[in-house]
Amino acid sequence: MVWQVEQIAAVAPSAAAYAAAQPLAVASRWSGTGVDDQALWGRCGGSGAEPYDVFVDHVAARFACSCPSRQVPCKHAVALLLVWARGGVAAGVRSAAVDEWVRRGTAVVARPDEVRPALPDPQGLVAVTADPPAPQRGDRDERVARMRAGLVELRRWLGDRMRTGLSDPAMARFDTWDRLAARLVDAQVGGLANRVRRVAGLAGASADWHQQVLAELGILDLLAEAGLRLGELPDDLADSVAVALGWQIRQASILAGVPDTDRWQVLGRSDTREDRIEVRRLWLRGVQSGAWAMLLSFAAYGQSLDGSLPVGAVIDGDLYRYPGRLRLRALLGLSCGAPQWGGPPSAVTVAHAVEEVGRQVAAEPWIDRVPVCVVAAVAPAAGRWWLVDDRSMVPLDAPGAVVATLAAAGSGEMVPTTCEWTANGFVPLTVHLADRHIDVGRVADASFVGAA
Amino acid sequence: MIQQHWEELTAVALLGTDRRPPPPVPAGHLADLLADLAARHPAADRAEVLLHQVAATTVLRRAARLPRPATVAPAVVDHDSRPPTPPGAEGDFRRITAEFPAIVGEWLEAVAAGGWRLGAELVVPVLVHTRRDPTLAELAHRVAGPVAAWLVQTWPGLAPRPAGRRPAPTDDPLPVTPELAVVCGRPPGDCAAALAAMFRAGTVSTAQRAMLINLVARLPRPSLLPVARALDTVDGSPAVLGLAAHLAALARLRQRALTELDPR
Repeated sequence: MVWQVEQIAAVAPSAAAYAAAQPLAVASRWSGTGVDDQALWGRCGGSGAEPYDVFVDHVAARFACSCPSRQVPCKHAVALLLVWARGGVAAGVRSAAVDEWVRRGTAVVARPDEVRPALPDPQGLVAVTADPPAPQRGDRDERVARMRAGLVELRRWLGDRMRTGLSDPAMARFDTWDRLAARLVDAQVGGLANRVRRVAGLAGASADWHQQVLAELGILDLLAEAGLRLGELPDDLADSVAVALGWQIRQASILAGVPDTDRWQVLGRSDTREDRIEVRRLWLRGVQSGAWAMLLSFAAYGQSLDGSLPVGAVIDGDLYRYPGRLRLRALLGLSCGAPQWGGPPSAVTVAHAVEEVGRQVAAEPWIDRVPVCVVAAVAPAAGRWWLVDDRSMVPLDAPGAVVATLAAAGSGEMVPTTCEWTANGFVPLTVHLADRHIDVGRVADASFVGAA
Repeated sequence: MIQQHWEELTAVALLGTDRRPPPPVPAGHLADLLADLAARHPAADRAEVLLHQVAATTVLRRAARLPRPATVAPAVVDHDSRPPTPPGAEGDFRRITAEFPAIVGEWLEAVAAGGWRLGAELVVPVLVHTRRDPTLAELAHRVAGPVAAWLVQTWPGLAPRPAGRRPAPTDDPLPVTPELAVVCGRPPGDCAAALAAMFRAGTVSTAQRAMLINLVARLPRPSLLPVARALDTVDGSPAVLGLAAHLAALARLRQRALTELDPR
């Protein structure tokens, strides 16, 4: 039986992979196609000299392709399924190679009827944990079309702002931004809607707000353009863009991936309000690997944020990382033992931390926060506070009480301090002393969230 | 050069490209990047040219930022050889200030008597909480050590408020009725039994809440746990039960906080 488009979308490993398959799902890109009662096959012209051989067992939902992609199914297999679903593949007699592959039966992946797409989330943040209802026909195609229309509209809006100028009084009205954010939510690019709301909060909030808003509009334009060209991007970058736009990935898909096993120490925590949701970021770092990871938890009004992992705790276990280029966001596996207290972590110089931030920003230019653990002290200069070591200094972005706590902790000595880099400066999260970890990250408003 | 270009971009963006064209791009990495972009995706109009320049310049400014050379050194504070308060003290202090501020003084005295200095996480909250009470502020500065003077010098808002009234030596910070004072002076077992009996007989009520809190706040340490256990057995209206539970919580908090601050 011919698959439906929503079944194909459901087996695609990510939204980005599905989008990347779209340009390939035209008959002119394929040769030697055929289908019988179990197998589907064809050759897709790629960037290499040789076309890729693609085999699909459409009964057992198995896929194979000669392309170098590690995704299963790759975009070529997804594209071949789409061509078939659209009536572009005629019945044929399978070759010996296809026959052998079908009989060998390897690389089993999920059956299409077991895989369901994620619920669209207007916040663009909350991963769906429960199984959503089965998709309706054409849902995914419709969503891609809505997303593209939303991105085109965003670019038009940005162009209008550049033409009329940031001094336009409309820029200071929240309504100007809120209407755009609402349209982006409708277009199911909730990640961009959140960004727009954050930019709205910058307008008029400081003396240099024009510069801050302009920078964020530039990043929005970059993301919108990247979103319109997902199919042209390398897979990992396309995944990063898709996540930034607000495409959802089911937790089950993430947990089905290859785990990253290490002893993970919680080095920082920060709570931020995203519209009507409080978001808690926990920054973990592998004791052996030194790799960073971020766990997110969410709480709407009256709900509790996850407080099970205090700053400084160490857990042995598996993290499952979301796709993308930096792959910071992760889910904690279920096989972890009880948290134990960990000592002060290793830390780097200020210059090294800035270099690391630069690498990460270059990899994902829209990234808002980069974790670093730096050995430094605090000192005032030129009317603001700085994180200083023997050679370098970087500006801090923190309220006075937090800087005072940092100062009290160090008493002039340099101490390991975990910070989040942001465009406004380094935000201190934790001071690590020999016998304690002092959590100085922003805490969610207790009148909004319940007790953990 | 990039900073100057960014300021030019901001000026154009403020006025709008209808009134001013985007500035020329300075030669270098940025120009190369934008030329590459224009070759593949030519901009449709001035607004798009400006957006491309803004995006590329923003990324460059963020990714290629260098730290400044260190031109300042942190002020070094005199060393304080006392051990910092145990990590659990922070939670106790926050609960005391939120629920039982009457025992802040006792807690600070215990810190001093135990030979501790305030842990770094406690210095600022303690200075903020005590600055309006000259007696407590003095005690706070003593247990905070040299870092307190340095912090006050840097953040004058942490300095004690001169408007605060210093209590007269005859003032009782925890006044109780004569009947309750008698209960307080009894041996631990008798004290607990007498307080529970008063609850059962209805001779104490929520109207005496403040006095009862003062009573538990001034109980000698050996009486704290027996009193807490006796209060657990009190029966009565929801208001009486709530009061008994509150007093029992105070007794247990005092017991734990003071034990934690015992000299090691």
